[in-house]
Amino acid sequence: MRVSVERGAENIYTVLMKRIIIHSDINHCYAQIEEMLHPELRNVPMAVGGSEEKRHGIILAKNDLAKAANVKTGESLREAKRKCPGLVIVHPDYDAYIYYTEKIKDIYRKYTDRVESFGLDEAWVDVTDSQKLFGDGIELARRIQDEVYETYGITVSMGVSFNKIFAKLASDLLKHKGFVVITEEDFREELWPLPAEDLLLVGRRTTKKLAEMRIFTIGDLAAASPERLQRRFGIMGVLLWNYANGLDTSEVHLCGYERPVKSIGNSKTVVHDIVSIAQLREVFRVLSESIAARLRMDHLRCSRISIHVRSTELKTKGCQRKLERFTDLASDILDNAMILVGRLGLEEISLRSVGIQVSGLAAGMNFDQGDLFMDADAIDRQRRTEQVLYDIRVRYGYDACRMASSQVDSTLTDFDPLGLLHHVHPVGYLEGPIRNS
Amino acid sequence: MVYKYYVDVITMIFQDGTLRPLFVQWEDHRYKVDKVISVREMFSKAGGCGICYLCRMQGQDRKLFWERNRWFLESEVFAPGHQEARTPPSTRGM
Repeated sequence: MRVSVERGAENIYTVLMKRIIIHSDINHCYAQIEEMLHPELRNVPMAVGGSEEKRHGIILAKNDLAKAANVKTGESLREAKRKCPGLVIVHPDYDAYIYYTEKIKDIYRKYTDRVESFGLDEAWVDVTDSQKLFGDGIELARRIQDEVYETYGITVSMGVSFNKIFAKLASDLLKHKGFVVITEEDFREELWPLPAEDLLLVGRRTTKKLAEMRIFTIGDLAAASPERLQRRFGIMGVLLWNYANGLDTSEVHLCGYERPVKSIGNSKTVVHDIVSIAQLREVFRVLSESIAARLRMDHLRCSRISIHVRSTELKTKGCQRKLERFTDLASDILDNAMILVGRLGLEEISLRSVGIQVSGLAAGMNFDQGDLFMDADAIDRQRRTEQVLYDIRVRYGYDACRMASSQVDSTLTDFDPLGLLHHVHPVGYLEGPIRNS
Repeated sequence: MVYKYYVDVITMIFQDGTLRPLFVQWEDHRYKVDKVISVREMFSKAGGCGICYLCRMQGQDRKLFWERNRWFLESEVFAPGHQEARTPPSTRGM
């Protein structure tokens, strides 16, 4: 690990690397942006979190003082307050987070056209070809890191390596403006002793399965036989083996690249528990109307639908089914979701959060084979009805048109997943089928 | 200790979109910006960041920040009652 590379015109490590890929990570992003905007928050233990009344009460990010008090990201506000009674909770301001993280990425875009976002706070930056213009890649990475700090007062930790996986791994090694270079020569000494779960795409379950195979470190993974891994994990196994051996060749996407949509989903943590099928149906109605509207907006139709429900004991259940034909109708989505609810066999209903997701997307109004007893006109009528409903809501607000049944318990259904809400979802790393390279 | 105060500024907007502060309004007084010494993007020690215009006003050098869509002035003088109240928590994304 070359933690501190001597500053100079020529850098010997750059010569050794074929590609220079930087992974930058804004340290505890939300908390740091709040600290930048309100410096007085630096002197108190502070965390960004949702609102307890609406039951979004979890810690999204925390500052160093809160971290020292053992406050953890993802735990409930109540739990955090118990550990650290003086904890200041700041409500998230996603507008500001999106604005400032984009501004920081604009700095990267000054130096290269290959900047790939990985969530709000992380990005890969490929500066291989920028070296002709801006000089040595590692020096450039340092300059970018300094520029981000000087311009926005925000520290980013950077990992520089010859592939995306190791760059990400390196950026996680040192927090707080950390700067770690991993070359093709030294990755065996530096990275192989690390635990396997540090590798991208190795989660809790994979770690457990790997441990059963007596694979504990990245080095163990690299030394394992790819055939054995493939037997256990399928094509994922080979991919992980490639990652561990530094054979990842994936490119950093060009700016403006957008991943094709693979699924559309909406979920909701309700203000009070859902205790009957009728209530569940009403919440699902709002969700499926929003999903159908999003499908129509993107000119897509879906062929698979899955639901998940989370009980008050925080146990999650879910199942999915394939539809007989492609659809973009809320009524179809709702009917199928309710069939799935029946299949879940919930004995006692006490649900805290529920969601619907559709996938198997196909573009547009293609003409597919209907079955003999299908009423094509009815489908057309239903689509027009839903479109009118949607148009009314766009023009006059969501409350302008509602089902009478949703008024039975309006606190449950009083949300609008389509309108003003802005969901910031974490992204997955893999975008499509895994190719053997 | 540095404080920040959001202020009204009479600004010249040039054809290319660049800004030049002309007068800073503070209560009933209008202070002329005699000279813009430097312009660069940076963060303020008083919180926030944006394009920092180092201005000469009344014989003093002051930092005037263009933050997203408004101006604030950095000052070492504490003026009670002029601090901006923290914006109420956003309910977006909930």
